Amino acid sequence: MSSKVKKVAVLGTGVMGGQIAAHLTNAKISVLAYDIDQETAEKGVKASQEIKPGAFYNKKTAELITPLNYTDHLDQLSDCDWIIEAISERLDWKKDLYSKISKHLSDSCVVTSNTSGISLKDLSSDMDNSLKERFFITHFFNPPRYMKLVEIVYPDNVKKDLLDLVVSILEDDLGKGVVHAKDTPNFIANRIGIYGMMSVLEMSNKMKLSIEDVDFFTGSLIGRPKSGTFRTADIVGLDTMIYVAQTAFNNCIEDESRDTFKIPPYISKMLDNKWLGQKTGQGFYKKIEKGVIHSINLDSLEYSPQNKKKYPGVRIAKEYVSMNDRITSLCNSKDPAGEFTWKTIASTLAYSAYRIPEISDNIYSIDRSMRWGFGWDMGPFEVWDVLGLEKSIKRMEEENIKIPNWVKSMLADGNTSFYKYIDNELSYFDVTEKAYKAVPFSNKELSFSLLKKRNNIIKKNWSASIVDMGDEIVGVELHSVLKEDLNPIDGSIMETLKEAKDWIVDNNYKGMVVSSDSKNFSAGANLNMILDFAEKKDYDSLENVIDLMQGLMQELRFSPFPVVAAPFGLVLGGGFETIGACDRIVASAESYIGLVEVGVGLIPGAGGNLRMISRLTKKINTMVPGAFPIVQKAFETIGYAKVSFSAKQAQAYGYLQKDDIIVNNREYLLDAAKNTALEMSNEYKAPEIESFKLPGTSGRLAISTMVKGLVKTKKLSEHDALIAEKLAYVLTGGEKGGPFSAVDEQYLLDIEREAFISLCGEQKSIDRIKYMLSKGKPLRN
Amino acid sequence: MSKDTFIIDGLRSPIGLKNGNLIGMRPDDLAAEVVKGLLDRNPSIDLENIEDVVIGCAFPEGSQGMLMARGVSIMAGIPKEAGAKVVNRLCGSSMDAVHQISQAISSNDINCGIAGGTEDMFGVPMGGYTPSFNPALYEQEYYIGMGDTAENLAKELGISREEQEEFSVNSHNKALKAISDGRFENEIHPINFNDNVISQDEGPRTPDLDKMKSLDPAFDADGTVTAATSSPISIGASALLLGSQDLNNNIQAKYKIISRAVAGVDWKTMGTGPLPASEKALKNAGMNMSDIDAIELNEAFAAQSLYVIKKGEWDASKINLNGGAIALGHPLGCSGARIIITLMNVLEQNDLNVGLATMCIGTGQGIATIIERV
Repeated sequence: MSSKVKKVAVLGTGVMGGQIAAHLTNAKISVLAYDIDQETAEKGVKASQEIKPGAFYNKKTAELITPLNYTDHLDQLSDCDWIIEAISERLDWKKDLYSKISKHLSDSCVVTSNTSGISLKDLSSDMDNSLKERFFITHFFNPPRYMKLVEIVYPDNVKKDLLDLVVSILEDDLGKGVVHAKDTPNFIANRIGIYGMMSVLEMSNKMKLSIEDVDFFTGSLIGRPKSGTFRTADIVGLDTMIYVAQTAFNNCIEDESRDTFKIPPYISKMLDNKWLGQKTGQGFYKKIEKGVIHSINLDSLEYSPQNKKKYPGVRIAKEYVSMNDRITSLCNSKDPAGEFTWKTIASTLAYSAYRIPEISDNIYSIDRSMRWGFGWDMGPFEVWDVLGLEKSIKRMEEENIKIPNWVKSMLADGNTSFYKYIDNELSYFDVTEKAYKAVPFSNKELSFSLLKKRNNIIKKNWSASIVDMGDEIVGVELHSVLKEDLNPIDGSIMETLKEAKDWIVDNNYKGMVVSSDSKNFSAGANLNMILDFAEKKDYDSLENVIDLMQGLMQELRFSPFPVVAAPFGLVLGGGFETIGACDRIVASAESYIGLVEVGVGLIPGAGGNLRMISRLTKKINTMVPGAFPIVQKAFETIGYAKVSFSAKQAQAYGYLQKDDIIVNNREYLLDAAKNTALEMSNEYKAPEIESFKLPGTSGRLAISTMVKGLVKTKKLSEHDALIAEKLAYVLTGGEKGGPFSAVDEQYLLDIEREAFISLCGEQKSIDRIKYMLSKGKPLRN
Repeated sequence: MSKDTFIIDGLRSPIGLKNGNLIGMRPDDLAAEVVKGLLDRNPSIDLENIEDVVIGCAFPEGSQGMLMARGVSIMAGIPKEAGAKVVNRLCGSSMDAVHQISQAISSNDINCGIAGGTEDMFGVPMGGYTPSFNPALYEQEYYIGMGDTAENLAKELGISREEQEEFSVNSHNKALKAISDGRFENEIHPINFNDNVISQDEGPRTPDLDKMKSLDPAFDADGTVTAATSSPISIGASALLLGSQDLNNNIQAKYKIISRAVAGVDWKTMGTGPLPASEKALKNAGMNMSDIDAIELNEAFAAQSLYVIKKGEWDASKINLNGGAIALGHPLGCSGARIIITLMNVLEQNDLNVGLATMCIGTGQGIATIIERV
């Protein structure tokens, strides 16, 4: 249980309430979950366990939620330190509920509402002063476990200690990013976000672009969620989207772009037809049959097969690995793709600038809101800096896109960017003071980009850098030149790890941290390289590379200083093998860890099998000679390529160990890892080489029998079975292994390497690798 | 046989299935409950008379380990002076337990004993916790899956999926009828567990033909054996009280063991085991098949039972009158004694005299027992 609060009550067990309750239990906080009657509450709590993507780190913590109802259980509210109201967006219902609960609250209890659109002023109008000071808005985004943003809106006379308490739970325990918003319609993220969506709708119609093309232009191509604009609307529901737009239209009378929020006639018709998106089976898209999805024509409102056009601007932009270069290239291209992208981005930039100081006094709150609440890679002012302020303003003026005076005068005063580093601190242009000020960060936040701005780079290589983190700890930052979001483990990363290790020894430093600022720690090995060797049948080179990687991992493991890995996001295949070699793992709660090699026709080749055997041996205490249950669990985990849905679940699979540390706030990860390395460096002793008594041939044959059965029932293909046999061979300890003959780490690595290379010689494995590289999903052959 | 063995009484637990009310009950507790129930309803037998307790179990490890029979005996309140052992002949384990007590009585070693069996197939997986296969035997397909052996039999005699399904439907219908007619009441000892009283087998149900037909083959994608035509994974316990003529003088037991037999067959077609085993048992008894009034043939698989019936030209109308393992379940170590107990009740209910109980055994064996009402 969190030490900060005893109990939290969540009022309303709908989609948001249920998931907020679930996420509170992820921080080990007990929750009373209320709804109008007991059945509804119980149903809501149950539904939160079924929702996808999962709301719980581990479904077992659902036990911390007690479903209750307003009729029988309001007296239990007096035990609660924090009450989160998350019922339907009806002012009268909410006010009625507040008055009902008020007499049951303890004096120190804080009450917050999860409203997305009702103003704080209206919500609290009937409250007495004592409650008014303890009442504010905490606006979570859906899904609350995964969306970082929580907007808070509070009165001037708010009880500071209670506000601080809630913010600290949100940030430290729930891993959220808190943005201070004003009491304005739709607050920050939805205000800018809905403008962005409505202006895309407007422009698509004007330029007569197909919705599938527009979704492509407004999706991952420019660093926004893959679902783009129309698909996102289908997921959220057209009715919900239009509700937000109408809130803006009705309440933002002064808004210079108010007309953009007007509902276009084709949308009205779609609403009349109940074409609301996913929930009614059709919206902008309509699923015809499995794998066949048609898109709507905004003029005729008829559905037809999708027809993605090829645009030269897109082709060129896609050549760029860096998002900054890609957006710039696209905005500068003269084709419809370029024109559309530029126009919609430019209008959003201007709109955002006009919202200061209306919705926020500063630019970073707007940027953070869009990154954390809408999943954009960059907020509007960050994008503006990328496009170049001077150049883009000139173009906007030429095209009659209006921009507020503060931006013009900022530029006129010689300030050519919204952000810049001053004395190694990230600073933003403060509109009121017309000067740069440091962007506020928690002292627990740390990133490689910050460390590098402080000029602490020891060595920069193509895909990784060695960075001095201070206190004699060295950081190795992964920043792949091949795929910046996925960090495939390539030669440069391996070389950097080796160099960092030597540098630490030479300079008598205390420890190493391996992590990244990217979206994912690492999605695996460099498959292109493996494919290249495999296709050329160059097994010597393959052997060399695997040998090198295994050797490097063992070197890290037995180095004379602590090595701490700080993984997050995808940690697959070689990514796991890298962290698996480290002394300790400080993992983000959102770590999706798995040995997934069988999907590409291989088995782990850089010590993954050894790590699983080692970890599971510690996890599963078995007195049985031959360790069959350990091998069986490793076989199932690797054989079915199990990927954890959270760091917590990774512990259950055995990818993480009991003494590994889970950090709920991603931004605190690097600092926590550094501190762990520092702590461990005190009287550090390298681990000893392990040896294992494995089941040997007799256990392998038992697994083989099972595999044969699965082939017979066609649950496995012949090739799956071949891979499974090789995996079983390695995990049971090869020829030498047996209940009475221990094998050492090197022997396991040798047979793993041998098995890996032999699979690289299989055409069906090569086909699987190729398929994965071209389609991004596994081939079953 | 030198001395006769009398069956004084027999009792069994209801058989529990997946997600049922017996899940979580320890198999040794279950067996002890049954033995206690058996002794309670035979107060004329002084506990001091019991000299040995033999419990069959196919995978005697984990909760079934540590010489479970001794634990069962202690928990059932049998004096510590009695002996106890566990016997393993896989599916034939508890029939073998009956044979062992019977043999001891025959040879004058003891006068009275308990033979039974138990298996919790949920608690201890088939194959055990640490399977360890001998390469020399692996080469000879010794570890062949049971389902595969059933497929082999179906193939050999061309037994169709439809025939197997019809056989299974019959098994369920007979069991349902037996339940509604109260024909299991004398043989089932109700079990108290987790605030439930379980007094009925959980397997038998009105067959859903559409669902049955929609199942994928369970062991071979091109095969004919499905989950619906195989005996289900289950938990159960059974026990018999056996005594010599000396003991019987005052009691007048209703059944007597006439003959016992085991036989080996090819492990790849282990389901044929009842044929040679029954033949031997008949020979030992100096009988012909026509002398047998009722048969309990353990239904490991519908294909396997049909094979035995067809190949042996057995009279199907005499077989498993109250349904079989496909409906009731087949908790491996429990089943051998269970079918003898069911056979006793069938003879009584139908006023018949001579009965044969027989079953196949993984690794390629058969076992058979002939009993007679006295």
